[in-house]
Amino acid sequence: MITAENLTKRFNRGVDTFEAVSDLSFSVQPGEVFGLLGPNGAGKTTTLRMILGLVEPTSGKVTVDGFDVAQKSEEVKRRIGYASVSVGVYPWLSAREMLMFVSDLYDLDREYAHARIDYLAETLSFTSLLDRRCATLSTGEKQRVNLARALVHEPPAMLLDEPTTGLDVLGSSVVFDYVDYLRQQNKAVIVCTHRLDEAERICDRFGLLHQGKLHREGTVSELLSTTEHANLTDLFLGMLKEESVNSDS
Amino acid sequence: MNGTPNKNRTNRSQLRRLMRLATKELVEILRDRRTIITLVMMPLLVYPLMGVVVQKLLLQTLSGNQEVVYNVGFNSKEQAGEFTQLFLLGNRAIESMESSADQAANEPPQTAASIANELESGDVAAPNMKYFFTESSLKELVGQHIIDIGVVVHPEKEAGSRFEIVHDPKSQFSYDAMQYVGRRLRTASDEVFKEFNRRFLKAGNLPTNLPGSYVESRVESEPEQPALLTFIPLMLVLMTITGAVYPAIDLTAGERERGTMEILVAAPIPRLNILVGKFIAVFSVAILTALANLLAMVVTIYTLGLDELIFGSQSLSPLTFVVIFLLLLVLAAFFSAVLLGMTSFARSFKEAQAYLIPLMLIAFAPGLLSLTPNLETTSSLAVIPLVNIVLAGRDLLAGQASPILVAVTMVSTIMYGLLALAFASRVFGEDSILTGGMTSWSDLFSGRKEYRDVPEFSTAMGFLAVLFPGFIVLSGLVTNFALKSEATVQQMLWFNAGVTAVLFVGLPMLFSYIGWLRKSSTFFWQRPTILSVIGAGLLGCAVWTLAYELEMFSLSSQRLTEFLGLFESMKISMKSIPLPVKLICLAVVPAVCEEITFRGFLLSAFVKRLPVTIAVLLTAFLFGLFHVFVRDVLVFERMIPSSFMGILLGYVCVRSGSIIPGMILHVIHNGLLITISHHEEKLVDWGIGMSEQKHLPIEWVLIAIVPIVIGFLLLQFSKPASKQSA
Repeated sequence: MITAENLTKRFNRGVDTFEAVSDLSFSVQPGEVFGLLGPNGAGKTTTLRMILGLVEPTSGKVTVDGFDVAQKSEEVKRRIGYASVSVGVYPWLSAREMLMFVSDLYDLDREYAHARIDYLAETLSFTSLLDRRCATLSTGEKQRVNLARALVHEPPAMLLDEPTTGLDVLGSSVVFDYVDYLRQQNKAVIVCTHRLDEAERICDRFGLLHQGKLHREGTVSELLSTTEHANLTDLFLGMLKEESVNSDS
Repeated sequence: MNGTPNKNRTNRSQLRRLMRLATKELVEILRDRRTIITLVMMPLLVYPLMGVVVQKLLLQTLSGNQEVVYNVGFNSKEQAGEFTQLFLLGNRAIESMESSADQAANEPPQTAASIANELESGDVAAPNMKYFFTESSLKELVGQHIIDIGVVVHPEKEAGSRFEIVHDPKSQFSYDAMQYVGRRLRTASDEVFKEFNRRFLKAGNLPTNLPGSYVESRVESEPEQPALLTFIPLMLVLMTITGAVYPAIDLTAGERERGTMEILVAAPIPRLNILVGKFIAVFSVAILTALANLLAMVVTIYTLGLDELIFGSQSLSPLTFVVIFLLLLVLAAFFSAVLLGMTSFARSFKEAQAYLIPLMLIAFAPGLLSLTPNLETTSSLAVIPLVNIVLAGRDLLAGQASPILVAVTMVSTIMYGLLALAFASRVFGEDSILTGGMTSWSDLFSGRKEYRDVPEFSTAMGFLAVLFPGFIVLSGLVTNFALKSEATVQQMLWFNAGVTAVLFVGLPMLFSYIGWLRKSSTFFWQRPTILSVIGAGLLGCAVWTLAYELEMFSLSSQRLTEFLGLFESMKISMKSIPLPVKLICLAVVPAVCEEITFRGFLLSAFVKRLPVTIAVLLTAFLFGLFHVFVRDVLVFERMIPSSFMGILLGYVCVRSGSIIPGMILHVIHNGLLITISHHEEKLVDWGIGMSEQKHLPIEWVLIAIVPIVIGFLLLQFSKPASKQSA
């Protein structure tokens, strides 16, 4: 469903260039939740933006459902839902108005859109909030509206960028349930997070990203079987330690 | 699961989706009470409040000791003496009515001769008046506003003298002076007061034969432009920029801060459409604010009675209203586009404000230009952003606008607005802007160092925004240079050919070099098939008949007579120029160069973004538009035949996949017309002529249809030699 081949992105920083993502390749299949893990600045968000077509790769290629992002950006955007904790809500619109606006952007039939919004609100437990102005919603409530917003056009692929940042336990559990729901819906999901403990709980497969490079890829058991570490967090910390020793020597 | 997107999609047109975007932006802005209070309610409250303060200040000033002094002209001191005697009698009578009679009676009466003597010694003879003595025509001096009124004394045999007061009814001050003087002269001549005055004069042992009544006289001066009318463009600049600033920041930097920008850029909508949606919203709010300001200002002005001072004696005429409204539209559109363009670079509200404060200050300067006396609008000023709108507004309000300069202003302003939006669409929603890190203004121009097949839409808009003003300014410069250096007609032709080459070949080449564009695909530089070349050649030989007939249909008989006169003089001046020179300068160079710009650079950019038909029509419209501007006149009638040729050339280019058949068609078309014109006399001698009739002989048109049809068929059945990426 989602394939990244040798993705590289370099940014200009005055006279220097900075390589945010370096020769990254991976693929995600329908019904699979792929965790793109790494510390802050590892290149996770840049990768997601390249998949979505918001950032042009310096080299490499991304295809979604067979469509090349560089050639068919709009077709790709129709097939992707994007949710991030950094995405806000329109303060002066009600949740329903906002979701209707988004469904108009995706050209959905209005009757269908109404039904879809009611269904998503029920699934994500915010039916009572539908007609409230978004500015009056709490952080967790806004996050639910945003998750519904990403799904309103029923995309086959989902990109979740740091979906639990800033959320309390209750809010985070909504996100976990949501990812489970996406898996059941047979969607191809990429979750970017630096919370390795959470990722271990919700993802099927992982890519460990550091300084723009993919260091390891596989399921938890595959990754842990090659090392002596007990969990992903330890594995990642060990990997960073190895890196720093190698660079010092 | 399957990979197809949602099946419940509609086929809403781009326009409907655009309007949906704009509606949402408007709802967001208008629901924010701060917007309504700041932009709409404030002017409604502030102007009347300001009006009351101004009125109070004015009243205080007037109630002070400041005296009004009218400048009164006379042809001689004797006449002034005669006038003053009657004036003082009238003044005394009025004062005796309005104040204590005793006080007035204490002042001794004077004869006209004694007053004339006093005037010799330089004493001021009458209150609130300053006398001027001249042998020149008083009417002229009043008409030129050198004096407020002139008094001409006509001696009458039986009843003293008759007074003629020359004044200008269009000047408020002159009118007031006439009223002031007239009232006193009327009072002095009034029967009731005559007896009163006779007794007064008798008591002073003075002759009692009083002069006769006075006569008013009007001077039709040059229509005086009310001084404050020139303030209107400046006020409109302030009103529209104030209205556009807040929504422009809110819908770009504000949206970025709220994190909602990603919703838009992640949706399957071109960024330019998102920006146009925002533009519509900002434009609407700017207009709304400006109208609220205007309404409040006009109501205040009328309440204070300042309408004549500002709008002139005709007050706010429907024409003035229409002009002001048009200016509002243009200014609002310009500022909305430019402000959106600038704020699209900002990552926060604060940063956007920092960008816009200098712009607002800079915008004052052109606004103040409208107040500069005797600043003439030139073609160079007509392409300077904002300066051109302000000057066009000033000229339109004064009724002195030149149609071509207004047209140049409008077209260049539209180009600049499109350029601003196109630039904004390049950075709008970019990752670096979204995450707030890694871009700079230089990135906008550097772009990626990889070749592209065709120009981006934004690059095409940028190109047009340079081409159009360049075309106007360079053409003007060359004409002026040629006139000053007394160049021959042949030299002029070469100069113009050079300018055409620089603008229509040099400029697109420069843009393609800077933008890393592949020349072959950008300019449709492909080897054509033989069939398409033959087809284009046939069309070139015959299609001029249709273009000519179209031009004739669009010309009124009066315009036709004007053009025939113009072409006759051109024919005479070009008669001595060898045909090959004319063919190179007027047929080959323009045809080849225009094809490179219109069917090459622009068409390839438009075809990428728009459906082919729309892209061809748009290119044809631009092609027609450039042909409307002919030196210092606007020939709107050229729009139809030139656009027709533009459609045909666009079709040929798209069908053949190459720019070359179009060039051949264009060269043959131009060349034929030049050759026919060059050999016109010979053709007439041979009995082939049509100078005596408007339309071509019908048999010519019928014969021409044959090669046209064959040409179309050949093009229709010819397959492009190589496929274009566009």
